[in-house]
Amino acid sequence: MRVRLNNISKEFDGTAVVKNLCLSIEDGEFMALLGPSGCGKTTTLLMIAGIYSPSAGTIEFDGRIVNRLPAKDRHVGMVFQSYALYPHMTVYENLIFPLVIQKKPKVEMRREAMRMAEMLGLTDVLDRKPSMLSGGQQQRVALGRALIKKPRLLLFDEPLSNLDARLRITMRAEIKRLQRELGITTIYVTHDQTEALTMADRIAVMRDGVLEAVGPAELLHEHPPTLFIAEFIGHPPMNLLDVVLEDHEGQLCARLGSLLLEVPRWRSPQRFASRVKMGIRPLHVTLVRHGGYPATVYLIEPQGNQDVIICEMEGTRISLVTTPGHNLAMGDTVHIEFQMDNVYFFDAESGKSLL
Amino acid sequence: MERLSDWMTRIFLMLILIIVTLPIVLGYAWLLISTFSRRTFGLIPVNARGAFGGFTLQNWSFLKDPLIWQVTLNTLIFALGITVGVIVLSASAGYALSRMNFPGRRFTLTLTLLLHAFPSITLLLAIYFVLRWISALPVIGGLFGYNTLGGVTLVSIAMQLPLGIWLMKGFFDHVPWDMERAALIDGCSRFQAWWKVVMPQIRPGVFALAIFSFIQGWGYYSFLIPYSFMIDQTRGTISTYLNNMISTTSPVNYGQVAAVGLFQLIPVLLFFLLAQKYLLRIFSGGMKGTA
Repeated sequence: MRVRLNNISKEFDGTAVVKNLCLSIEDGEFMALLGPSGCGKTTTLLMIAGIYSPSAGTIEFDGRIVNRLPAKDRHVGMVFQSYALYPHMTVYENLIFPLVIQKKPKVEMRREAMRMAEMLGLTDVLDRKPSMLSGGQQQRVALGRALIKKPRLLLFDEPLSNLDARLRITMRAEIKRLQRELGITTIYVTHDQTEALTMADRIAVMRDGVLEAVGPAELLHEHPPTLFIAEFIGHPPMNLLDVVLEDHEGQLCARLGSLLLEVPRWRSPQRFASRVKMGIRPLHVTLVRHGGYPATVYLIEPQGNQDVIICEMEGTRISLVTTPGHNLAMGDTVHIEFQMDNVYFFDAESGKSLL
Repeated sequence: MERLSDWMTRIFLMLILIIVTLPIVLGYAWLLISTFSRRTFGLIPVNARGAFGGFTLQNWSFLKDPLIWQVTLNTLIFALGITVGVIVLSASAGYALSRMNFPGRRFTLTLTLLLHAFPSITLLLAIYFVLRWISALPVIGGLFGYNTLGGVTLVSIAMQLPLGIWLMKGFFDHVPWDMERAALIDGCSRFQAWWKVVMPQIRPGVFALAIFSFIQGWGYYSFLIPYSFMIDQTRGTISTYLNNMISTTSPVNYGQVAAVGLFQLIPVLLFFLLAQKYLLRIFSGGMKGTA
């Protein structure tokens, strides 16, 4: 099912939570709504589900405006962060609940529930109450309950936030595989960029109720259109440094304190801005033996296959990623080099990319 | 040594509890003893000459009076009517106040709280006029007017509602929004979501309020309203029956009064024993209903 949000807004008691949001989701697409908490992504999801109605704008399913269509008639399935299982019912009763409401025949309920239970590995716990299940199992029941009525649109509201890290990775893969197999259009709300990057076809980044950008993960990662996205997407987060752009005999340089960094022609800002921030990912800052610029090690975060080193230089902190085994300690002096082919420039005032 | 001091504390606590509960226990003991005695001297049953003895079943002879059974039935209808009325109205009002946003919501909440603090005795005159007015209506007047069980039930429900509504609102507030949203998305109408998903969550709360209302209707607390708005003895409750026994001009037979009191008390005592677990919930102000 194709979903289109045309200029939708939502206000609660005069406070705008979502502002003029336009977004279209293609049939069978996996769209992630990514943003920090309180950015309006869950409100957007609930508007699509039919729980809230937009204060302005229209929501279209396959070209039909559904603003006034009640939730029960929208053919959507939803998985909540709290799972929202019905505690007074067994797992089996939870699974068949949507079919009970539709007054489907008993035989069909049984068949569908068994199919779901098998697909999600719940056959052994069908007679239990949700409170007797582990978090991962509750998550699966919630997923099964959303899928059993064969929804045309699947909505997820931070479904993995309450799981431990290991289970989160398993469930991530499982949800993605299921979505691919069933081909159901999916909107997935999360504040975790890893989830959005790994699962979604496209990511819509929201901030303070406004849609910042939409695009495939690689695009947002490689060409962040705004400072906010540059900071939010990518791990570890991009270094953002206050620099002054200067012209030295025809060569554009970025002045960082007392350092002068030569900017390659194809990475030069296309527009003028009075205050500029230079962005460089930790991956593109390297430790060198000779040359480079001196910096002091501030903190080392070993991550197993790589070390993140935060160092201080010219009064700012710069993080870089390196292979483990450098035997560094806090306070050591290191020499670092910036790979200037991979820098970004942003207008510090508007936050827009200057590339 | 430690064990000894443990025992000391325990005995000390026991003593305090015994002293505090003694007056109540003695009261009930007297009630029980005097129903089977002609006279009592303190707790000791005595005969006409003042010696120990004088046991009798005569105080219980009221059980042969058909009026008491009529009155008991009335009380049962009255108490059940209050229970059902309070539950249905409080559940709907409490849900609306907890979940829906409508003009005047805050005002209603404040007003309800205010009404709860309002002594019902000050309303008696006004209610009298309302009931007389209802009496004048065709059909309804015969069921819910002045001097009818229906009318008295209606007024008693109204008196109980503020407490009921606040309790119910509290219970509903504890049901997570997501659960209700899930029900709506799963295909429920608003009413189905309320009935099939939300209400089962607060079942212990509903149960507690039901017991509470029933006991209110059955017991002495509801004496004032039936007494004020019911003239016919045959339409009265046990409380008014008891009151008639005391206020007649002939000398009062306290043994018999005690027997009727005990008779009235028996169902309530049984109820308390079976349901005290749920009743405690009312005072802990709502819970997450997974039990």
